[in-house]
Amino acid sequence: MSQVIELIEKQQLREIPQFKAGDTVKVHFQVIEGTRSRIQVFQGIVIKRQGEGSRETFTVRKHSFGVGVERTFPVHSPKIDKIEVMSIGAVRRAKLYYLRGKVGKKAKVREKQR
Amino acid sequence: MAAILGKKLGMTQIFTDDGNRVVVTVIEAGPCAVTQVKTNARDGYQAVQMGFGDMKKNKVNSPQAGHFKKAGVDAKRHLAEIRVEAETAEGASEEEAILKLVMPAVAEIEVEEPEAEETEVETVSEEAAESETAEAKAEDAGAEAAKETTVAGGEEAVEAEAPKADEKKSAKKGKKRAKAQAKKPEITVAVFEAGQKVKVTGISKGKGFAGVIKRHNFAGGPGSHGAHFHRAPGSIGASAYPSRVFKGIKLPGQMGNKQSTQLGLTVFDIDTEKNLLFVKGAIPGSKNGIVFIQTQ
Repeated sequence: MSQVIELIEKQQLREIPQFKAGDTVKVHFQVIEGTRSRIQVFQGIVIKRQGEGSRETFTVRKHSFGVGVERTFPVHSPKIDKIEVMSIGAVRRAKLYYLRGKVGKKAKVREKQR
Repeated sequence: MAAILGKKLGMTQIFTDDGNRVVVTVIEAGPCAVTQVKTNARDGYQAVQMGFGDMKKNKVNSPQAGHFKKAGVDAKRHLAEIRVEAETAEGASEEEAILKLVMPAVAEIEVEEPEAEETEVETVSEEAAESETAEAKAEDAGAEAAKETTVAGGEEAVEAEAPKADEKKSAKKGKKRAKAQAKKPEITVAVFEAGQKVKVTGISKGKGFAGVIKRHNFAGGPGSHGAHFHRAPGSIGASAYPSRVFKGIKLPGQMGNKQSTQLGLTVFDIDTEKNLLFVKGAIPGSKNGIVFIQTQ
């Protein structure tokens, strides 16, 4: 990548907590409705992180009223108020797509033993 | 009418103030030296020829060397021309009127830039306040900005009052400024502004000898179920009449590696310090390809 572009991307990086696929996170995301803005919380399991630098995104999956919901956020988006890491998952993959086919207890990720 | 030659650096994304992502192409545009001004009197039409990218001395052949010597600039690797229509007032030189159209900054910068310069110096020093090199940095930025003004302002700026910020500067910078003054006027990214509609011309990426599906978006046939028709073009016309293939029938052939112009792009931002132009969306060509940007 061109050094100029690398620099542009570096300038846009924000400080975020460390987390990886399998972790349970709470994402405080700014939602703008008309002129008002409020913070919405989306809690679930991170099933992937993708991309690098300022272009990196992560996808959070949760079950809402029995329906699986996935939402992808840019990691360094200014719209993210804060990211809270609730628990660290014990997983052996970088992408947890296998969770998509599972429901109930099987859709759970074990918590890492410390 | 503004135009500039540049090098495509690649694409990235930028977060706007309201938190949205915008996909942009980053172009290292200019500074371009004016290599020739074509006038009605001499050439039968009005245009400005600009050059971008330096050339190794031993690569310049003698006709080229003569051309650049006439313009008083170093040999440039890439040339492009922009047509203009300038009205010449009584007594004024046609060349100057033409140049003014391509470099609108000539008139404006004399008034506005001194202010802009000062703020620039301030911001730089604020950022670098912690580091010991703060002062040196600020100085550098100032000198850079001064160079910009004189370079963009060109001959007119030489006669104009020295920008305010200059008074603060040391003798070393004075030298730099003198050097900048000696230079011919150059076209910089400052001729563009954010929000402008532009068109970008470049050489598209070569795809080689491509079939009709890739080249002309033909549908092709089924892949299986006993089909024998897959990616072939199919019928290219009737038989007895016309007994020939009509011109312009879409057939396989070379795809890409051909001049292409993308219209209706928006300038997202410019960076006069680093000579960067940010254009929303994609532009033709590969990274490091030479592109020509014009206002529409």
